[in-house]
Amino acid sequence: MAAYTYTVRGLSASGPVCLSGEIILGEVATLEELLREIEAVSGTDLDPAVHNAVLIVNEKRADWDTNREIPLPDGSRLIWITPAFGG
Amino acid sequence: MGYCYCGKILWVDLETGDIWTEEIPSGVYRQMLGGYGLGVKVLLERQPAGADPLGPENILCFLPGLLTGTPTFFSGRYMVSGKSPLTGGWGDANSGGNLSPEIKRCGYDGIFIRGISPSPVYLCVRDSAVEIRDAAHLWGLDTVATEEKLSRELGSGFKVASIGPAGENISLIAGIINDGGRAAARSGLGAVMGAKKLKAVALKGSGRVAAARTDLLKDINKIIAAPLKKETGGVEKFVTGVAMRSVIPVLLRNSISFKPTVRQVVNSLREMGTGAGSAISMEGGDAPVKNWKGVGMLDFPWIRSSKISDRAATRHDIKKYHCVSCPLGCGALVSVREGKYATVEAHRPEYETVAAFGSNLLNDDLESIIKLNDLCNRLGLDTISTGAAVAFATECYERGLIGPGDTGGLRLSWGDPDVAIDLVRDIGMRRGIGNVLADGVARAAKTIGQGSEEFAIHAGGQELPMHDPRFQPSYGATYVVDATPGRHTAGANNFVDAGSPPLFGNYKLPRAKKYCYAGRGEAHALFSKSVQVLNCLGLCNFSAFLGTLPYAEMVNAATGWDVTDDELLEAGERILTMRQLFNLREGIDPASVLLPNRSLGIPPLEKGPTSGVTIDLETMRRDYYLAMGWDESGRPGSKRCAQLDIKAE
Repeated sequence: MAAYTYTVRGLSASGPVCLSGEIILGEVATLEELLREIEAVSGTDLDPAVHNAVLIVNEKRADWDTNREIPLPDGSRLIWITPAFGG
Repeated sequence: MGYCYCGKILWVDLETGDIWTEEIPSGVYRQMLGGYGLGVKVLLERQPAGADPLGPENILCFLPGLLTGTPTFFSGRYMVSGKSPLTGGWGDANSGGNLSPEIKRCGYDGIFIRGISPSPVYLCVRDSAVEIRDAAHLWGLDTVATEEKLSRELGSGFKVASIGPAGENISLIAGIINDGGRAAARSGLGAVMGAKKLKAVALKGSGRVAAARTDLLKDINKIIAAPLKKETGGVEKFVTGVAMRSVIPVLLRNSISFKPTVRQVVNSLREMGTGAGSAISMEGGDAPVKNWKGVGMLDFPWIRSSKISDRAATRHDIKKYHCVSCPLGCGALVSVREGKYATVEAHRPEYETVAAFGSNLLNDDLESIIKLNDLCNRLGLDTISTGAAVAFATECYERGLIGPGDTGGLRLSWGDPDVAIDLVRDIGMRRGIGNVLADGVARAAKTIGQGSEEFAIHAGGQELPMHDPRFQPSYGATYVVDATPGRHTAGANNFVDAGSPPLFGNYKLPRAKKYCYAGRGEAHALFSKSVQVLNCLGLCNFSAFLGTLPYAEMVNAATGWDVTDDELLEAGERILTMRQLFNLREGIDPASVLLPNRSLGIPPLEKGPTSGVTIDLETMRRDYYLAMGWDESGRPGSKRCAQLDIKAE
């Protein structure tokens, strides 16, 4: 068993959105596997490359290309966030 | 005189009282467009090298864009230019509101002011009737009171740009305010106005700005505005039948939902202004936190940042508004009806202000940010630089470099808006420690010393805007390579990071990986040229949210010319190059414009969305210079200058 918490933040069609929750899996997941689970739960495409998303795992930046296949320890916290435009 | 420009500029010498006009050859407009394109040409030719920015030789100019006054959407910006007392080099600033077309309705493509008046004056321009009038009764008033008083005196219809006490006191972070809270804030040009003892410029014109093809401009407007009226992915076709790239702005590409429409993005801007997404910026690493040393998710987490962002930030809105000729309308007036931050009918803070007085001070009190914004507007202070100055002073206090004895008893601490308000008042009035901070953080650090230079966050003397290079590295390059350093509206190529198309549609750019630094120069140069074009046409940068607009067609419909995108971009390059030459003439070594280590990730943050990041600024700087055809030290070559018809000394 492995439990993960996640937060997804970004600007959506209806304005800023913040989704968060917990996912419990039978075994530890890679970053990519966890993201796919969150996509399934939230019904949202979260491909980091498409959305230019910043990924933060356990409070540290995680580059998608180099970290996607690395297993995440039980209890890991993932934040997925897209840039806003400012002004 | 041609279509959409007047063919002449107004000159005012405040020392002699002389007022005259000068005709500008038509060819100049095609080369320099308008706005500060025209400004930099005049200043390079007429202003002596080494002029004191606060002296009589510095020429301050008010400049509408080339398209301003025509029916062209988004064309209502005006620019102020001159030698910056903050950076010692080229200074410009840009504002919306309703003032810009009035300059042209009075019959001028720019107002150029030199000399120093012996006593406070304001400039009253009613068509060709131009007077330098006594302003003794206005001196000391804030900008809102100045506008109100001049409106009562002069009658309705006058548009006013003025300085507040900060400009009068020659604060080097003072700006120029119009419409009660729109600001040409950057470069310290409010101090130039104050040094000239020029309190305000009041304008009322009866002229009409003619366009060559008004019918075509209106058709183009319909195409541009189409995404606002129906669910569509962006401007797809232009009236000429030329297929345009289907454009989805950066925001859409990055949105959580698949593809929100342009209309949905615009609705966000209309509803929440530029503060839509502030909390995301603070959480994600774009907005600086705690004088750039903090981490949003830890030091200013969502539960706090969301109180000053998005819909929460609109709870005091009383009225939405558009700048002149804008179909988008991201502005709003707000009132805080009660409490210690009560504020009556002020402008809603923009993102930059929310971040400067919010996350950068660890302040989650929206009402206080509204108050601070209004206070800056009334005092005539740049909110970016002022917020940075308060953050810098707070860190100085935290480290024990200054104490209550220096601050007049103020106990500076993070997240204390009451103290921030007092300090902003002191900056505007040059009282106590405010007198030190009123000259910006670079000079303040020299005065305070003790290592405070390390956390004075500026480039070339100008405080950095609220976009962190550790999050978007190309902003860092823009902050150091533009002639007005520390600007977020000078064409950062961060769009390329997101795979966005360029502003001009016929150019293909490689998609850059965010933290790969080599090979960005071409894209950066293209965006910088593009932004010069937009600015000098008088267009709002937010027009880009509607997609890649048909800029050449817009110019041709307005002027009757037959320019191409290439020719416009060459004009952008010419303007960039002349601004750079201005700085070189003033003795600024481009390589000497640096960023603070903190903003470069030296050392890198240990936690957060930019943890582990250190920026390779010099690679981006060098590539940009080379893409511009300049040498590695940032000096334009004589051959390219000749090709651009620039007379380089």
